[in-house]
Amino acid sequence: MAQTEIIPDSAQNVPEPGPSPSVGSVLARALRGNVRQYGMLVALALIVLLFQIWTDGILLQPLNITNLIQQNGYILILAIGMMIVIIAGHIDLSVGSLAAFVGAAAAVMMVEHHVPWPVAMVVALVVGALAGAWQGFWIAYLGIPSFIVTLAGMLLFRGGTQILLQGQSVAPFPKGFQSISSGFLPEVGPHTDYHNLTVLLGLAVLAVALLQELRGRRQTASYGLEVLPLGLFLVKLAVITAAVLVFTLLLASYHGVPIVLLILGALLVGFGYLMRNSIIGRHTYAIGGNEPAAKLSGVKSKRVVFLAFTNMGVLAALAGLVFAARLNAGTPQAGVNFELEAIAAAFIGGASASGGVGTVLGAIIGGLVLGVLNNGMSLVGVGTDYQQVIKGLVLLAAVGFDVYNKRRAGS
Amino acid sequence: MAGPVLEMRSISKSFPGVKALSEVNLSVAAGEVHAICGENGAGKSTLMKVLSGVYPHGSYEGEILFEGEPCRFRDIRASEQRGIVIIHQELALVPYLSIAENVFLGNEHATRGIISWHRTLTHAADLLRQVGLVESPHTRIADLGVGKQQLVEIAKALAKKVKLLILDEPTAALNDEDSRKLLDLILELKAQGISCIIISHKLNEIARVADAVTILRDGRTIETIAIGPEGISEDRIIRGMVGRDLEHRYPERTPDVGEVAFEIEDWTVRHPIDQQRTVVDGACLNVRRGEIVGIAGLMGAGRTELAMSVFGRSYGRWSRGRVLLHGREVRTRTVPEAIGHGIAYVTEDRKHFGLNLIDDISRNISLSALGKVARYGRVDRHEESKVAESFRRTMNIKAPSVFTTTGTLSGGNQQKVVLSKWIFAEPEVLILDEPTRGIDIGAKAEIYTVVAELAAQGKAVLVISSELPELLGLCDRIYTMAEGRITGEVARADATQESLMRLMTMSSASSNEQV
Amino acid sequence: MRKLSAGLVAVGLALSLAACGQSANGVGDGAAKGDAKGGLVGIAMPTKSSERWINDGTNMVKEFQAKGYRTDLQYGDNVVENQVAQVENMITKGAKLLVIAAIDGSSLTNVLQKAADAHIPVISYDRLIRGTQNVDYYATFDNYKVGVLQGGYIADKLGLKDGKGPFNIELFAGSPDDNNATFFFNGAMSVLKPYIDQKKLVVQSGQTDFNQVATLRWDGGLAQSRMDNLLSKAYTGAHVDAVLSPYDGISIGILSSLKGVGYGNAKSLPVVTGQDAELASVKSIIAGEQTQTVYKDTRQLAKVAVQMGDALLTGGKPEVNDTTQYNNGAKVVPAQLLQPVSVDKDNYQKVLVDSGQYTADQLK
Repeated sequence: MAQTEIIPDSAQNVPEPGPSPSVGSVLARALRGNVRQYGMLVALALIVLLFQIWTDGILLQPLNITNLIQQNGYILILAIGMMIVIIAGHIDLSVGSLAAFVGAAAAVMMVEHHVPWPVAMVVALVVGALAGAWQGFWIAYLGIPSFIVTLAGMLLFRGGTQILLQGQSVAPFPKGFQSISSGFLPEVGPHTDYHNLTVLLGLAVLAVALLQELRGRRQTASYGLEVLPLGLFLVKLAVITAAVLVFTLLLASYHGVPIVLLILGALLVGFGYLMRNSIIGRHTYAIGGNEPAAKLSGVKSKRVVFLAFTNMGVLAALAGLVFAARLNAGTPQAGVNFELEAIAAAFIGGASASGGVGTVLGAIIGGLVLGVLNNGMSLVGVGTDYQQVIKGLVLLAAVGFDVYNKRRAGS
Repeated sequence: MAGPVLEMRSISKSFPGVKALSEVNLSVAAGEVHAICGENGAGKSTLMKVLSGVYPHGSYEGEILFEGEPCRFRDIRASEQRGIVIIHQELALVPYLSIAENVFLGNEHATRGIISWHRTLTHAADLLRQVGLVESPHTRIADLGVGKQQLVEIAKALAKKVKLLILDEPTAALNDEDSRKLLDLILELKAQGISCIIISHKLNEIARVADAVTILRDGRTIETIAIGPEGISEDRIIRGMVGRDLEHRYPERTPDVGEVAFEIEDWTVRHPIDQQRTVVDGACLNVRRGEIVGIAGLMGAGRTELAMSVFGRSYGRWSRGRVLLHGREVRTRTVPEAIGHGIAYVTEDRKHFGLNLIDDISRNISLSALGKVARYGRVDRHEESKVAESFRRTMNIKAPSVFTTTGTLSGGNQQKVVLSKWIFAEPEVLILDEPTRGIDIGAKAEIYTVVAELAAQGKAVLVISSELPELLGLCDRIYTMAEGRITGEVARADATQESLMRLMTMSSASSNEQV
Repeated sequence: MRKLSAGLVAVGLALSLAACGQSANGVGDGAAKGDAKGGLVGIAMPTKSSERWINDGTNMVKEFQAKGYRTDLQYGDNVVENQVAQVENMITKGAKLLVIAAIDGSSLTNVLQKAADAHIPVISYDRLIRGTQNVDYYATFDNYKVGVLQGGYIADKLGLKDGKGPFNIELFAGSPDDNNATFFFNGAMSVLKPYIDQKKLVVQSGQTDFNQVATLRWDGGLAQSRMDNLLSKAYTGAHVDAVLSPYDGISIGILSSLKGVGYGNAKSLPVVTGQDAELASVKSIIAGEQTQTVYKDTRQLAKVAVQMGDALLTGGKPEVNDTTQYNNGAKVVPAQLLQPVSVDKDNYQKVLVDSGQYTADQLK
């Protein structure tokens, strides 16, 4: 088949593989390809470990795991969109205000005009898309820097929020809407100590993850590239299995999978696939990496940028809805500094300030680093003043680490 | 005249893999205008960078004597303190500052950091009078034309008490009127005792103002000719400039030339910002199936501008002209349209316009025709890698795998990736802009072979190059360009380096043998 | 180096897995741990950017600890979701009681449901928590009364009751996104509105609507700019006789603006109200610039909250003095109201110094 004709050739051309490389060097090489993301994964694990010890085990209690997801869901949603915008070489400062605006619009629709909540949600997402398209139009087709356009948007939507809400919080929402943020998968089947659906879902995720790993390994091998030695690969599989199972059981021993986690999972898989495997995703990377070259290769860069911002608008709207559902109120101060959290998450998760680099998974990891820091420090009782200092240092360290690494790789 | 103000002795300078200058000598007499001539890449700019301290002492071999004293410049500031000022082709002025502010930028009239506007303005007004520029010192640079900006640069040099003024292609961007004024000014400065080095492709200008001309070729001094009162013939200079060795092996081929595949008619393009300037002026050319056609021209002749504007209007503002494929006019107003009609443009500047340097080989190759490895908008990574792998083999791209980042490849291998990208797009017409710039000899030969194969497959190939031997070795037919116009069309059999160079240096004023 | 870090991941994962293994069986087991007495009290305050909340927080911590409780005091940096997360984390940590000064009174319904599920009583501190059944008691000052005191002081000082006038007045209100701002403003207008209607008080600028006179984020700088604009627009030929200001920080801005155009020298300063008896404003009152402020003894409020909490946790019944007024939209919350006091040059010694709020030295 196709693979077999490639292997011998590339084996000829690759001068590298000497006599069986040491485990360390293989690992090192596997890591090097993706230092930033592995680095952040390591950092995340260390931070989790640190707070797990520091909080006497409260951090990974089932209740707190659920809290963690609900406390960070909306930031993670924003971080996904922000990552895509940053990959395309732009920035969006308006997402916090836009999230507030959409949340306010939904609140006014549901509370004051008694619009059924599913309808209100759809309308809200459309509003988000329009707002994103509006900004995308100025940026992509009129060539105004995204920094300026979205700074304007930040003011515009914030003002809009205050106008919509008349400076007051609007509450409460219908139960169904609240459950977007505070709801869980329903309890089904015989009574066990664990939440049945959650356990099933966890097992399904595990199966897919393991299959993916196996397939990826086979494909990498088929390109004649080095793969992890079998032993290490099995260790990796074991770690993945353990992580998924433990996480599943933790959730299953509380109320089960929160709805927010389902939304996040769907977005992660969907956008991850889009950015990795679709033409439009590829074009986004190309534009961020070298826009003139992409244009000369026939990439319709204006359209791609326009779509990136429209998408950001939809995700900001979704984040706004999740946030409003969490507070069970549309509030004028909602979303303040969300844009900064999302941008920080993207950069911690491996984005490059000049664009062209980053993954959706990275944005999630970056968001979780921030989220665990927030949650852990709050559990320990570190004040928000020191929390900000620490988060600032983490952001600087993450990006500094990346720059240092690139420089070393470059020289 | 007096003894030499500047002597550069046995200057050699190497870059990784390339010897840019070897044992170059240059001697400029006090109070003379000294011209330096040579083809693109002959080493003129490198030599001037050595002189002005851009390449600091220690990074080159040889010695520099200025006013009899040895000089070891650490940077540009050091050379400027001695009175050596270089004015680059790309002017170094800040557009939104005033003339006065620009003239004294980095050299302010100030006491303890506080600018004295009185001294600044009076001095600036003096200098402007000296260079014959009638403008208020308050005028913003952005409001001036290029000709006047050039004068501001000279005023800036005068403010630094210049003794030796270096002008790199000073008239390349100027119209005839402004050029004439500038040359007059150079003669005037000479009368005031300021020596001048002028780098120019315009041989008529050299003949007019220069007292001596030094010719460089392939990083060596070929000769220095003193110009007496009787002047010098342009042919005499050309003879020195050309005559490069035909150092490369070109593939043997018997052209199988078919019907006309690609035509450009009356193609006229204006400068993207300065719309008064016509960059490409009424260009007409055609390429047949299976034919390799060259465009020869020196820097600023409008070759790249012509190619890029044809390719989806990627440069400047189009004002008129048609593109025809097999005799039918086609729309090429956007890059996707041009690609859709089977036109490909391989850029001269692969780092800025050709490659995504932070991405790998496979993704760079597939970028312009992603649809060919995708189904329903989903890219088949496996198929993509297979395609890239086959190019890696056929093009002999030296990299561990197709997942190697292109930024880490050598110039030659990067060029092969760019070529692969466009071959993968399966165009009918390929425009190759300086396809061998900055790459080693081995890779050059490989690229020539690929180009020949493409022609043999019946594609129409247009090659833009500054290297005459390359064009003579590769092409079936060669157009020459100068100052935005096509100045000649020569069959390979009839072409010599001298005849091409004559057409390439023909200025609009003196040309009467246009196509 | 890299080998090391890879090893650390493995160790880290293993450890954290082991750690969660221990507790993977319970639902918030913290909530069931320990007796009520000596338990953990969660105190959520809005922000450290204002001296007032810092004092409230430390006072409560002191009082609770004196009664033998452990405390977890957290500030939400005026960001709603921070506070929600903090309250969630307090529940996780097994708090027995929550005292919450809400950043946004309407945004806590979901998290308080979680508190109710874990059977944790909630005391709403200073600001009423709205829209939920799950708030047990309310300890506050009478905010409407604050406004009444401010308005009444202006009426007294100008002699409106004696039929004097007309006088010129300008109005300022607090931040439009803070519910209390409306209380203050409505309280003040309940006194002033009749005089405005009778033209005894004239608002030269014509701006009387809450949204027109509101000051975003209680920002003194914004108030100063607005006062500048009012003075140049409506008072080039007229004299301002009174300014209703809801808060000392705003009063300071207003006074700077007035002094900038000659009030206090050529022209006499108008009556300027305030609230909170912040140190700078008390000094200003002594110096004869600001006229009045409203003092709320937050130490008393902290004490009341602690008494309520202690009663709740020991099975007693907290003392309340209002069971009708504070309907939060879901229920009437029983409340203990403390009375604010109007302070001016004549009584600051008695109210502020003798009570120990400030020392005489501090006011010099």
